[in-house]
Amino acid sequence: MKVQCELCPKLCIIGPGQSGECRVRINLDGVLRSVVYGYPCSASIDPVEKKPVFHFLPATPILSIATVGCNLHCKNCQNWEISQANPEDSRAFASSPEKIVALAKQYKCPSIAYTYTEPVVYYEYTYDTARLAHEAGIRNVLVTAAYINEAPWRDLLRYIDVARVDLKSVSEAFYRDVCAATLQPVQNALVVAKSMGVHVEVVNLVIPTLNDKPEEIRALCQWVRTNVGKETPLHFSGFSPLYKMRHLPPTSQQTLETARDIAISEGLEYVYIGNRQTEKGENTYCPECRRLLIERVGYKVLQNRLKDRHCPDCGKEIYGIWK
Amino acid sequence: MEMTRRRLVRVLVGAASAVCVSLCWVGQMMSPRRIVRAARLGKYPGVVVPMDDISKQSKWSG
Repeated sequence: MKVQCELCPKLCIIGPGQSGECRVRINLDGVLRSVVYGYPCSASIDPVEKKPVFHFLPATPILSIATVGCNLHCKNCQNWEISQANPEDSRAFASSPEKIVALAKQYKCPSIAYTYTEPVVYYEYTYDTARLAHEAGIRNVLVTAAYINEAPWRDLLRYIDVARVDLKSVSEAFYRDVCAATLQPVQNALVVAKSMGVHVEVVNLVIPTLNDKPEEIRALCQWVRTNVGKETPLHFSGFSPLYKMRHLPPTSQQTLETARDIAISEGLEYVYIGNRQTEKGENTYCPECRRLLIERVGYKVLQNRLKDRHCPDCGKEIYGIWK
Repeated sequence: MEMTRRRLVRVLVGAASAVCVSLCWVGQMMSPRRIVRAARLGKYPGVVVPMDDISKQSKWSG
């Protein structure tokens, strides 16, 4: 018997013995099974700034896990060796949700990230781990493309503190041609996450010739401001030629700085540059008085002047989860 | 046995019911079952290895 996976908008109809587009959800005897549940291919303790998440417990370690698989097939994927791998060709280790939460406690990580590939495709593992972590007072961070149907998304977000969402473009053609996906479910997921009180940060990977035109960046900024809020941190990330896009050059620093200027001119309050060392691109400034609040270099926080979530100079409350 | 009109109607109704039930069953078998949550498989299809040292920063992006 065939099954239809209704987790993500791909709605894969999966024949017996076959997997969905994500490669990790298979039909065995008419039952949909997750072959990666409890088998991460990667687990590491990263600085939270590496996700990047800048308005959440700065300078803390975050236990970061992933299984293989992704429901998108971005030609520029930086982690394609694991995101586009078949489970049968991959290496993983056994680790139950209980074990992951125990590791977070053991290594004194106040949060767990579901990251590197796509937590949507290992949904059940993410869900069970996040629920246990939530009960244990450990926060949960999803690093995701948010290509998921609304009902399972809402269900999962009950246990999620931070959604760090890749908004790759606001062009339907970009999602179709570069990612083999569609734009609208991602936008919907962002709006839903924000409406449920989840802390949201957005990353836009700027790829030369594909989504780096000022008018495209402006349209993305306007969409974020209007639909997710001007306080939403927006990270412009530099592209490196990888996977099926080795023919394109890396994003120049000038392009990233122009993108940041556009976002600020569109009223976004917290705009960052990632994957490139810039003088100010990783710092947080008060949107009211423009004074420096958090100084970062790479994944390091050099100083944090926030006083109980407020600017110490003008008193403005700064969006984020700080304790 | 003589085939009365009543018996003929019973046979026809029975046959039609059997056809309908069969068609429904075939239709159900052909149309996919719609599922959101997957059950866990329990056995990894790839290679299971011991856990690495997790205290080191990951080489993967994100």
